[in-house]
Amino acid sequence: MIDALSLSHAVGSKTILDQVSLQARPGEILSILGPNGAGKSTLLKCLAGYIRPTRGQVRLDGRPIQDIDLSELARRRAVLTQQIALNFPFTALEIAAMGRTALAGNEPPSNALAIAREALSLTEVSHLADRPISSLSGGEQQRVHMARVLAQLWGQESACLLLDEPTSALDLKHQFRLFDLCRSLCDKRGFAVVVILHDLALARRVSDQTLLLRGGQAFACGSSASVITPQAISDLYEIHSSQVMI
Amino acid sequence: MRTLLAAFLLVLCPVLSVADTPGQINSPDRANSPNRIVSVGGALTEIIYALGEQGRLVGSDTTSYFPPEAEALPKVGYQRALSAEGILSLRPDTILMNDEAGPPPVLKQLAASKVRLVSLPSATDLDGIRRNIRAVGALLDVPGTADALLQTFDKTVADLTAVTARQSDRPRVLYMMNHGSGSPMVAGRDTSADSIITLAGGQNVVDGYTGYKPLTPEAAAAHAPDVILVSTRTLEQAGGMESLLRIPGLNLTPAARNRRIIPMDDLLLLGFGPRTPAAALDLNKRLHSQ
Amino acid sequence: MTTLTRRLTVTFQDKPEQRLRIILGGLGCLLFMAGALSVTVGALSLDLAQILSGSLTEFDQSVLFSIRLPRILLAATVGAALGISGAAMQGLFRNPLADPALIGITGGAALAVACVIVLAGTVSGYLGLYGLGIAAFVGGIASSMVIMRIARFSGTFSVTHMLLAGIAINAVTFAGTGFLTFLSDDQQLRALSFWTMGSLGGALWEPVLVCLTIVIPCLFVLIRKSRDLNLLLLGEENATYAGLDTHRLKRAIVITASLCVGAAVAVSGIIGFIGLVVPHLIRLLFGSDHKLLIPASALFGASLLVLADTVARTVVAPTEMPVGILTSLVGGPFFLWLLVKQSRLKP
Repeated sequence: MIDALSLSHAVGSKTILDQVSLQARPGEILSILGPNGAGKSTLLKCLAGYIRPTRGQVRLDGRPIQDIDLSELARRRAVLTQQIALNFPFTALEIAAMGRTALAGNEPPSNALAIAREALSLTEVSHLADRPISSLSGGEQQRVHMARVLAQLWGQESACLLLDEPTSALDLKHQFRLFDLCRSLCDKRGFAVVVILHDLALARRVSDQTLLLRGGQAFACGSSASVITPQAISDLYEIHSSQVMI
Repeated sequence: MRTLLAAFLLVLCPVLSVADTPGQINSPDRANSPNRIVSVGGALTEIIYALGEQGRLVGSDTTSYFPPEAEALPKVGYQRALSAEGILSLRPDTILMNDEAGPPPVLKQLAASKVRLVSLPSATDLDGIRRNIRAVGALLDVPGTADALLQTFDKTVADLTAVTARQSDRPRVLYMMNHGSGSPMVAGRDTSADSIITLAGGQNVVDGYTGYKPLTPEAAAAHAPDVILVSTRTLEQAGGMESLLRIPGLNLTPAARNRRIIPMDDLLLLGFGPRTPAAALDLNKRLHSQ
Repeated sequence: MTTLTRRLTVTFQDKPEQRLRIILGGLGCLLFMAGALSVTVGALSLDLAQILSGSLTEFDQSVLFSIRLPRILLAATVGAALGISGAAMQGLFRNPLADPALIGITGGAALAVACVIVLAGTVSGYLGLYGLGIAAFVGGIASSMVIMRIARFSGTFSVTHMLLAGIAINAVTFAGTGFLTFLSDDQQLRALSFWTMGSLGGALWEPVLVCLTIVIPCLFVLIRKSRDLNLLLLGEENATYAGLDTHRLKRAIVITASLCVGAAVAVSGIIGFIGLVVPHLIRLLFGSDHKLLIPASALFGASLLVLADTVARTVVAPTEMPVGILTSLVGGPFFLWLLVKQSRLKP
């Protein structure tokens, strides 16, 4: 579970986040929406412990996130970033197994491979296991990296999963499959999922909570059904309400 | 295995190996005169030929190109970039070299092979040449021939001294060489070019520095040499007399105005071997032929 | 060859350890055969049967022990050092075309060597023997440390800053070397250019053993870090999320690679393209996993340089060719071929 307490972040004189608070609870999917440049990715990096906000604090399972060492942190939360360029011909299976590399404790490589294979089957890319990642389509690559992230949290209960636009290259079917998977992780293993999305209808349909961000500030926050309304959306994106389709 | 052990010991105490540098080299030994010699250094090879003992040479370096027959000898590379195995493959019993031979690790490898190494200092004056002729004569166990060679040598030196003593003028000479791109290099004091110019009754225009330095056009003009002395290779590289005279700075000198450029072979001019007095005599003639 | 490697991959899909052992065993055999060939061939040819039975003449024996064996060992050590540091650099910069020269070692070493050759005049004794090697090592390490320092100016250890600093420092060192070249006389110039062409001709037991004692620990450090290097390929952010301390890893990689290349340059001058081509070939044949890539690059780099040096000292006997020329002569066209092939693969 992640608690963010009035996070502010500035680079130079430019404020990117301004007193944003949120709580990602076990068993829930929290979506973050907002126009380009609203600070969504920066917020996610703060939540992941990669950027230390200039003010405010992020707590993971009740502990300040900067006090947790990287390897332990990796067991408690995983992050899927937007684009990962790789110039080297690794196979999908090798990529998925990388999720297990830096975890504390010595795990035999065969164990890592077994987990990687199962993770690949969860994201429905088992048949691509031995293909070089660069030969796969964008959507397939995204699912392979999703498998890597799942492998990282393999066997963990109530861990946190942070996803930055995980559906950007996925077709409709796989978008739904991805969220079915997230939902089952929430239900069965008590995961907390934070996901940045652009698709309003999808967000409303799959997430429990929604945070709307504008100009680095929380514009609205609450249950998805109550936050994602035509009025709020037209205000947030500065478009006429008749153009909003949810 | 013993070598390995020894090497380990050497690593442990570098002090030990200081005593074992290639500086100390077995001195020539009359008793067992060498029959298979690799000669490194043009002047030394010349001395062996001048003594008529070329039959004992099995190889030489690339600076040994006089007399022309010497070019046909197996070549072991440039004197400062020798290869130990290459030299040893000629199965020499003696390696005769000047003190420019290198690199040092290769000399150390050669020393380890138990072949006799004889290092002679490069001559920079007439006495040095005499010493080397005597040393090579002793090494080859032909001291008589060496004495005869020295007599001819001294006779030419006497001729040279007689000629220069009669001349009152000392032509101002600038020695220049060109290696590839960049400015040509000019000889200052304490160079073999300076020595031979003085020997030949000339005067090196450069006395402000030692060694070779790149030439700036203005300095060339300011030195105002009467004669420019170059190696034949430099002249070829420059693209002949006309191109040489067009080098900025040089074109403003009296030498260029009077087209007084003297090309001479590097080894003959700077080699400081048995031909040096003759070379100096020749240079003297050319300096004074108006 | 490719079908063989495919088959290896398919057969040992779920036994990566076994596949690793087979490939490394094969490369080990290659190195052994290269060494055996190299022992017998040279300006002087020695008979392998005679070597093994110990019936060499005293002269041949002294050639074998004081010249040829240290040289082969040196070739193998330098080849391995260049191979692994190339692989590590390509991993660090996440670019298959990166080269150890990027962290400024060769430039710094060349500058230091030029200083010694041109400014120090003639030195003799211990310094005359090892002066250039020591200068090269110190110069190389110093310039890579400067680059590392600059890379940390921004607070974090940035690979981009490091790359830019490397380019700048290389430009400065090459300008310095150029200036000294300009000042040098004929003989100094020749000494300098022979050094930059690289040669293993000066192999003595001492530098060989010193070089080995530097390279072997570095090899083990890199092998230990190989899984982390894989992870770093995902990018620093993703590697951090997966639990890797990327700053520590980057520092360790730069230091080990600097030590390896510094040691190699110190004993052999500049030998190009081994660091670039060897890891590339291994990747092409066996994949990118650093667990295999690092040790395989060591073995293959060693074999390749032993063979190249054998050619270098035999083709123009009794003199020899600078081995750096040979590796660049073969490596250059190969590099171009790689570029063309890669650009064809991409849409």
